[in-house]
Amino acid sequence: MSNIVEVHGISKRFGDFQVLDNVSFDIAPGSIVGLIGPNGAGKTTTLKSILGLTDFEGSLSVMGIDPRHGRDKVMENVCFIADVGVLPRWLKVRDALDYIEGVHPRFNRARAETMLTETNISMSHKVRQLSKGMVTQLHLALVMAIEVDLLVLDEPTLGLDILYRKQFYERLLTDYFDHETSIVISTHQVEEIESLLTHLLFINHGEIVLACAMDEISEIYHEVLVPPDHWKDAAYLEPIHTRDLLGQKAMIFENIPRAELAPLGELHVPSVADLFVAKMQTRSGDRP
Amino acid sequence: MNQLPILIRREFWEHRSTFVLLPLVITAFLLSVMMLAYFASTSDVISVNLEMEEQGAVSSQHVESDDLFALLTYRLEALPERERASYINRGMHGLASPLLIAMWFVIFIYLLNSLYSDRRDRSILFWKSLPVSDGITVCSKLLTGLIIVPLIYFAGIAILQLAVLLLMFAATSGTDVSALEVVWGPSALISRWFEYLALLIFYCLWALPFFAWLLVVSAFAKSVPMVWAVGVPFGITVLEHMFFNSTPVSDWMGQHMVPLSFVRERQAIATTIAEQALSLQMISALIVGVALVFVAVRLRGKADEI
Repeated sequence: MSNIVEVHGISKRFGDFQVLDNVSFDIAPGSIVGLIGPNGAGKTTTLKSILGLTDFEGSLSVMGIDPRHGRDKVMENVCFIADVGVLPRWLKVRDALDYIEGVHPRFNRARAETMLTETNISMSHKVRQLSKGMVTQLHLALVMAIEVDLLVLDEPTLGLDILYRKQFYERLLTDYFDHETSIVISTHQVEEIESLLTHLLFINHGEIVLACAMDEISEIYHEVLVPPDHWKDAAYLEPIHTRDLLGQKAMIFENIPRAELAPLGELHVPSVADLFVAKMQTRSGDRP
Repeated sequence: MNQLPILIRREFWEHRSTFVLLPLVITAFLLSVMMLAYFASTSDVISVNLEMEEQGAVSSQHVESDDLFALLTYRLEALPERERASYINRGMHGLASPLLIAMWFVIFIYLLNSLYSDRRDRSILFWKSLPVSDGITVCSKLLTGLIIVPLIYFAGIAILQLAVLLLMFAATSGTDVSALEVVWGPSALISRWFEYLALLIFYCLWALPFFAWLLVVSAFAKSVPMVWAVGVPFGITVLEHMFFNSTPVSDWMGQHMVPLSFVRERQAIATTIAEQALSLQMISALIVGVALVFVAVRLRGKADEI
């Protein structure tokens, strides 16, 4: 099967501000992609472009459809959860089920109801009566009952406490992910989703600064704990990031063979969080 | 899959208070006032001098009754037929006007906010994440505001008009005055209701530019849609009056905004509709109205949270 999403050189600007600058990437079926970047990097705009919720230049297709011209067609195969609080406050839980059942051909009402029985949410609740965490539970239950090819999550757990956040991702992985549906998650909290991901996309200042599969990371990137006597040699190999760690320096190298790095110190696979910091700093001079 | 019914239900979930509760309250209030008048008046005897004009001669008659509705019926009976019909018509119309006025404002506010408030509270991201096209979304709001809501208000009007006639029947039963003859005939209740429906459809088309303009404003305004909705036509009117001798644009806008100012008499409804149905006025209204609906759909397509 070909890619679910193909993005080729999309750009967007608001006045003087370049939100997206020639962004390209693909999403393969069955992958879980983390779109990671600092606030204002262009994550939401990228996702909205995929969903047909915003205009842009360049070409983009979601299962062969240009979302700018067929948002309603795209949405038959794509689900979307923006951060909490986009469910209208006046909506009753029962009515939400009625509505989605009425407009979405692939909604499985029984499934949503089953999932809701495991929460404290009742059918007669209005959204305004629910806590932030419960609204997210509700939205997740609604979305997980729709069989789609792509699920787009934009900072889905923003503002939730740790219990709900953990539960959210557990649910997503155990109840939903079946290796056929693809998921894109945007976040600036890398640690939380690191273990879920199959692919990484780093975005900064509207540009993609890293795009690779998780299992490629260990081949391309190495973190070396360098003791002081090797600092000079290590610096010569141009680490993309250096930080002090208990009297040693932890350096991250890109595309340097293991054999060259091994003599310098202890080798690790860098964590996504460290890699993220490294990548953000290499491209943007304005960060410490 | 026909999505319209569920989209219209959605509008009712959001606007239950103004679509259902408000007409219910107004109708119930007026009904209870009538009932109060009917039952409370039985304790006092009211006497009225009626002046009757029959074949040019004025004769005076003294009527005593303990019931307002009976008195009303007697007075109406005393009038010549034409005048009586005109009174009854005005009475029926007066009974309808609280609901009609409320309805007009409800629809105005509803359409003005229909594509605005979900951008404001960000729920547009939810609505747009479902496979519902922008065209059908806009149509569902127009249909709700222009057809479904008026039908509910009309039901209230029908109940009130029927109730007042029934009370007149009840008040005069057993007397030699027949309410059936005096008021039921001239009130022409059933045909009056059909006229309301005909007028409604006529008005929806006639004022389509106005209502579609509200949707356009609702879809693009970043804040205070009311100011846009009123300000732009007002600005055009002022400018036209300042710089031009004739004011065709403002006249046209005025005619298609004020609720059917040209229909005053009941007798005129049918002829007015027939005369105007294919007039330039009507055709221009349809063209501008449909164009504005398309603009609203396009704007909705580009709309994002604000």
